[in-house]
Amino acid sequence: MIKSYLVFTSCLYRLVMFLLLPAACVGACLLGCCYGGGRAGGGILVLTVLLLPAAEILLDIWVFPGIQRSDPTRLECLKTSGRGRDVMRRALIADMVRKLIFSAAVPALGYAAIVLWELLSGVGEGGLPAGDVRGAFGLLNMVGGAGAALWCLSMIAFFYSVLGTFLSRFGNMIWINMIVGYHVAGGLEIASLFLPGLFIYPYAYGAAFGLLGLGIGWLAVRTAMGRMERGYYDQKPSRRDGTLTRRKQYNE
Amino acid sequence: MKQDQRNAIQITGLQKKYKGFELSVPRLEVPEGFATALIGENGAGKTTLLNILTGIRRDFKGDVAYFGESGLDDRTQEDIGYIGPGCYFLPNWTIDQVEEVSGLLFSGFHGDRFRSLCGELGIKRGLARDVKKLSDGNRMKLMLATVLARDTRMLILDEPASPLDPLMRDKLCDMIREYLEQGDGRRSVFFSTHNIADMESVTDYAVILEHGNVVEEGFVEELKEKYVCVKGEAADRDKAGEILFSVTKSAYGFEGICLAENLDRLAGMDVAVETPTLSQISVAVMKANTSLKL
Repeated sequence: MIKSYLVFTSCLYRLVMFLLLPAACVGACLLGCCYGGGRAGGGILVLTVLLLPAAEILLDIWVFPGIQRSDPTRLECLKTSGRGRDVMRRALIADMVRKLIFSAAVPALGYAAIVLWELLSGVGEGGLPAGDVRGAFGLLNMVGGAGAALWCLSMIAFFYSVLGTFLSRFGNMIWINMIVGYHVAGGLEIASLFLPGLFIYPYAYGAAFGLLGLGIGWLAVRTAMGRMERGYYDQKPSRRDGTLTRRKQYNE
Repeated sequence: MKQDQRNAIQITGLQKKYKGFELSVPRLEVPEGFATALIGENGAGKTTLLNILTGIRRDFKGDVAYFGESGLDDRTQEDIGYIGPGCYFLPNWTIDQVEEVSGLLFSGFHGDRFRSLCGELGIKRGLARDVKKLSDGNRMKLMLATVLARDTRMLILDEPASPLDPLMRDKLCDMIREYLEQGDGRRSVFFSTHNIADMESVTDYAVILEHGNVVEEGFVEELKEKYVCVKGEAADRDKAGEILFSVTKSAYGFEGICLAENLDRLAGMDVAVETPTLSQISVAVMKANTSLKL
């Protein structure tokens, strides 16, 4: 599955996604710590997590551009291989799993960086003694503690990453990804932070966003595979009969 | 076709309807071990036929047998290398990705052979050299390198010569010939082309398609015996025109193609008879069957 996904990614994408993006998040958090202490670092962390879906949506143009477009002549390389459909499905699923892991791992890395900075610098926040990591997240502690806040933020980021990529894959222009990324990250995601009860039930909200994200992810894989399947036929396969039945009937 | 001749592809009762167009091929055999050219005017159904043969289009009636076995399964797809003018690769793929993807999709793909072919064809590889940034000719070369780097029994090439320069067309003919020779009569090439003259040197068998129907087929040498090129004086032009498939008129005379069996009907005229080229035969047959007013 990992190999199927990696062949769809260029070296440049791997460099940006797996190295530069986490490094930028950690770097921004540390920079915030240096200038404004752990509280500022926490604020920067929230900001980077909120921007993560925008980056995911924008970078998706390098991996699966227009994969959900209804153009039957596309993907000939995959269609002429007996393994094409399996490779495609595995790659799409792996991408969704990676999004989930990244949504959790990138904030965790930022968090770790802030904790490390606090420990090394001996500067605590929130009235706690220097080096007490519980104080590292002045802002995040408002949401039931750093762990709850990170869980909730990660799942919100995951949900909007998946939703944004699902929407942007209907087109293959970078401006579509930019618009979707801007609106998803800049609008909907920030608006989600003001959902009633979010600060009271962060775990429940996180779980709900996570489940919704998985649902959209499943829909994205299904849509892309459906488009690929339809590409073999001139007309849309009947929902009732299904593609294979329809082909069999036609051939009979 | 000879009885002992094996077929790479055998089509029986193929029918495909799409938006007023109908491809109808009651029977067609692509001989194994040879290069077969699929010739026809735009919209004749060449790409549709090749797409059906490669599994890109799957809604059709009829039966297609590959190497004697009916149907296109995963194993058969491994044995067929296809390149076409459409979106074969995703446009954002780099050349390195093309190599990686091909290695994953086809078990008989050889990375070292691919890299060697890229060098031979002058395809520059780089970290961020996207397929979409390649010219049409270089994209075709990349596709050629991809299919030739695989262990296949048959190549199905849709318009491989069109985007290539004359030098590369010559190289393409060499590569096809070399591919066939290395197969010891077990490899075949089926390609569509509008560049008949350039590809004639490599064509063993020709199929001419018009309006979705096969209007002529046969080994090139047999076709050259079946048809003759007639040249005569202007005075005989109209009379000769009655039996000629096509007549090219000039101030000094005419030139046209007719069936060799009809040559007797030109008795009494001052005409010279020559062996036609495949290009001349194809154009004549197409002119005789086209719906265009030429």
